[in-house]
Amino acid sequence: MGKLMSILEAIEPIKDGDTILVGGFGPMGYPGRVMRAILKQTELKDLFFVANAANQNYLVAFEKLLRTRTRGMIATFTRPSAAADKMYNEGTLEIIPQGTFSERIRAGGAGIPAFFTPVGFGTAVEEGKTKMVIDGKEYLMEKAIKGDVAIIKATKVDLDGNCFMSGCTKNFGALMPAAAKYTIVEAEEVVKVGKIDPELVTVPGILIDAIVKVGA
Amino acid sequence: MALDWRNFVARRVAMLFEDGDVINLGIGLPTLIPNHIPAGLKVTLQGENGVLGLGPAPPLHEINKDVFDAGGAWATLNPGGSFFDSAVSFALIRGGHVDITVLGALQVDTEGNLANWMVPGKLMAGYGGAMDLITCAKKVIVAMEHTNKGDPKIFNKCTFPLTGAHCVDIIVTNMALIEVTDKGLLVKEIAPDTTIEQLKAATEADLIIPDDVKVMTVYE
Repeated sequence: MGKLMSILEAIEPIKDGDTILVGGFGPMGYPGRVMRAILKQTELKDLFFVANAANQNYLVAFEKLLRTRTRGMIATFTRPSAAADKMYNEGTLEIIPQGTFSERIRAGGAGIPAFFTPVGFGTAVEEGKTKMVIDGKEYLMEKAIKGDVAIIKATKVDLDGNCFMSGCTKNFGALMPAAAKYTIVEAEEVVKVGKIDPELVTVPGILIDAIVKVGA
Repeated sequence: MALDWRNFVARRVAMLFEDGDVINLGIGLPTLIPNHIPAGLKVTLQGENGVLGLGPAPPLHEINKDVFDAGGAWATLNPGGSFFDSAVSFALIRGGHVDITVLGALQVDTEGNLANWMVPGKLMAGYGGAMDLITCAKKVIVAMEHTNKGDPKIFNKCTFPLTGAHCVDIIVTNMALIEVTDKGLLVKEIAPDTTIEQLKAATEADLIIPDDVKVMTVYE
């Protein structure tokens, strides 16, 4: 079977309790159509999300999923989001620094179980973490993040899954496919194999499992 | 034309930049800074959302929806600019390749600690990229209003949860330019319409104010 499929076919393998990595920096690079389909056309529950941000004004379907179908989330910035505020107060939202967020995902996809960073030392971020002094400087150990599913958006994708992400839309979506067992990409433009310049492939197609063509 | 206090602070901060600096500007007041970068000075603006070489905001009919800054505002790319993913973006930041970061604060203190991500019991925004930036940029400049509606923001010790410890180098406000030193907060400049008494009254922290403290001025 080819990788190009309907939204319903693409989201069918997602299970209750799955950890889902969601691309996007605010609305830019955010796979809004697939997220809306998960909200409207499934009853998936107890999901754990890894997403840079929540925002009740721009990421509306995500906000509703956080309110009703979510057991936890890792994020870096969640203002304004009433759902995220509630999760934070209940202890199910972990806020982490954005560079640590992106590197934990990169590491997850790169076969690196953990790494050391100076970021967060002397703040609440260091609580419970292994510390190490390397060459006289203090670091925290941060563990890789892996997911069951990644959902990302590309500017253009070919039928093998090779993705081109334009401008600033690469952000976290470019890192997430390698860190997930199953990746869905949504794109407004789906082209034949060979129609994307290999020099401009942001994500190699072997990391993509499902391609969903969406309207503008 | 006299500048309002925000643009006055933005211009004074811009005058601290040096040729060749790579600079990350936070949201809020720092977004005014590009308008005040002295003519002829070549600096490169980085956005942690994956861009180097940010240019001015585009006219509405020329918006490219894939080019924006870390505050989500539409932007342009200067010649020589580049785009990359967030891992590369934070490699630039964590790797020490960003010279200066300018950002706002809820609280800052004599040890250079900075708090800007939450007000306990009231507001939780998150760290975004601020924690990486203030830990790893070579120079950290806080640009803000000196008080929050009259309540001090500069303390001997921050009470809100920290975004970064021992990280702030310079604080520029509508009242003063202050350097964080091993001995404490050293007032280098006082705004023209501010007296030493007013500055002390608006600041919870102890201040070191030398006899020859300068008046804070910006280029016309």
